[in-house]
Amino acid sequence: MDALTYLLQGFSAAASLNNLFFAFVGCLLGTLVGILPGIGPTAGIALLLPITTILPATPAIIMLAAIYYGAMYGGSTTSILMNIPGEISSVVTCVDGYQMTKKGKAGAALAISAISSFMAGTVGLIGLSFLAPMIASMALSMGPPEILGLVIFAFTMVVSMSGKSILRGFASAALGMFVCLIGLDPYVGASRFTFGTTTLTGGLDLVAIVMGLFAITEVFKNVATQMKAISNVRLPSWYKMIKFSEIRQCFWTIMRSSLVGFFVGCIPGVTGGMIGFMSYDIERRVSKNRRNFGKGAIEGVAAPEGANNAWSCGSLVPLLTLGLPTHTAMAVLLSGLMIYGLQPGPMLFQTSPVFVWTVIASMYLGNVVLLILNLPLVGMWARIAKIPYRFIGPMILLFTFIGTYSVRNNFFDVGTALGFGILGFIMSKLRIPVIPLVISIILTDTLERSLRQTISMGGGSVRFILHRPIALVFILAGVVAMSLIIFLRSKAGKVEEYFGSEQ
Amino acid sequence: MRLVDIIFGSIMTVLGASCFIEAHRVWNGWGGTGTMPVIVGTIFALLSALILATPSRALSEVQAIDRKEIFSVLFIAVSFALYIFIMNWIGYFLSTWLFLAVVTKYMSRDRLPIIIIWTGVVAITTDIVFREYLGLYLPRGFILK
Repeated sequence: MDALTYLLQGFSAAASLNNLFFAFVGCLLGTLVGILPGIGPTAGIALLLPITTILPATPAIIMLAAIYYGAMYGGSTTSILMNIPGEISSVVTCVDGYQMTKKGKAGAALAISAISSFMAGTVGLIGLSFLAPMIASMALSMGPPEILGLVIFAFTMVVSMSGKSILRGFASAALGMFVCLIGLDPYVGASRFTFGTTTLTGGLDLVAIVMGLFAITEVFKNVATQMKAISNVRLPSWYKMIKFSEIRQCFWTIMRSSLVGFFVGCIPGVTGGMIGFMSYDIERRVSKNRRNFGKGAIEGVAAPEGANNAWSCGSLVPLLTLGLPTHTAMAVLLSGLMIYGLQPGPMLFQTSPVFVWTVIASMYLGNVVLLILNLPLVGMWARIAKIPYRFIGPMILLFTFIGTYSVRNNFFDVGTALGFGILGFIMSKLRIPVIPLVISIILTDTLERSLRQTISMGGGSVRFILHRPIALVFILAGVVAMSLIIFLRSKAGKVEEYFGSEQ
Repeated sequence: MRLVDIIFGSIMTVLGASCFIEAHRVWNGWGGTGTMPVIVGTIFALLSALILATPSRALSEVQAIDRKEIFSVLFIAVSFALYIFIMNWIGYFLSTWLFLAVVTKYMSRDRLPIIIIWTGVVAITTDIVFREYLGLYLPRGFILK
């Protein structure tokens, strides 16, 4: 029996009125929990997982899939409305999403986020349905040298996101790399920069750093300028918030980011934060609207949101075929699916076809229900931006506390968030962009692991990378891209104002 | 050379030097624990040299900041730090109520009783929702335990 027949069987098992109701409830609960600042999708799914255990297998799986999609969408809502990233993969959504909110276009940003997530999710699920076994074997050929090459290539984003001064961008990135050195060495567990204390052994929490750099810094900036509300623009009805022309404008952006997100998501070891930045960077280079990136470009929201959703589908490939959960939300989802008998592995599609296709069909349903449910709610969420800042500002600080504290129940993490909030404010005054810092924090851990694994594989040398053509292509492409950008900028004698005053 | 360039270049130098010192401390061969600190230290060294060599380009634009802005940011930062500090003693609910009331009063011209009621409602609602319904651990405080 071919994939399509199995998929139709999955749909016949999943698509009943009863199951659609659970998909609806799952999406609603997932969105509500995901939207709570500081909770994020992973914690959201974990919190709602027990609810599904009271249901029979099929509705429970459908509800789990719906919760997953809802929580992922809810996470990006806070990025757009309040500059609080729900999780690392939605950090880059803050850049243009929050700028759109400030301009009174929160509705359009939220709507394109939902539409982009839906379209990319569908593309990703089609890829998952028909290409999973083939891609899984290809993804396994991506070893540490290839991932090292990919990370080096991804570091070119630092140059293009450095704003007016490449030097300041590099300084910011170097600071991010330094931050990653604090704590236990990820490879053998030796301590670095811990100064003999146990507090620093676990390193600086990434969520705390990001919360500080985005949410707390933003509160500082807004308090300093005595902001009245995030947006004072009068909002139209929800169905008028996004124009069809804007959706059409983003169509190819969504398609490109879907493909990037899906295929890169299939590679174990590549993180969601990296995918978001990669797709954003690609769009910023190819889009006709590139001048507005960083200032509230709608494609700047569509690209990372689409890529994240496609990445989630792509990461289902190693999860289902190899049993590798590539991110924490996926690991929690896997644990939920295993309760109902899912045994991931290379033979999954042969041994449990009905179950696995029901899961995939549930994902399709969750994706559709999410769109139907959330588009009418866009207007309600968008109105949050109009609440006076004297109420929203303290609430953002409160939710930043809850979000950072709840990760490890540690006051030190809250202090870290505050410290990085102050650092972010100082950096904004010095016109040093924070985005390269976040990019390098996201990339450095993978860089170190893959570099050291590559050195180990090469018996103490990286020279053997010359015999790995994929890795070599990535590295050369990275070096060429970086040199080209620097050369073109210096030749033009002027700067591109991607992240002018806002960063 | 401007003061800001000297400060910035010096910070890069110090960070670079600390990376090399740490690399030396943990060094166990190429590909070991010290590899990454050496790489990061080298990047810092190059950056500090570039900043100090091309000061006018490095930090030519620095946004002005006035005393009022500094005071506002310091007020919020210190309030937040104190909030974290006192939470261990008086617990989440009371410290949150106090923190929200102080910060909201600073940011608004609303009457104090309204602020106290509003912030009290927020503190108790978040306490119930996050602690009771979502099962998050929030400090109860040593004094009130």
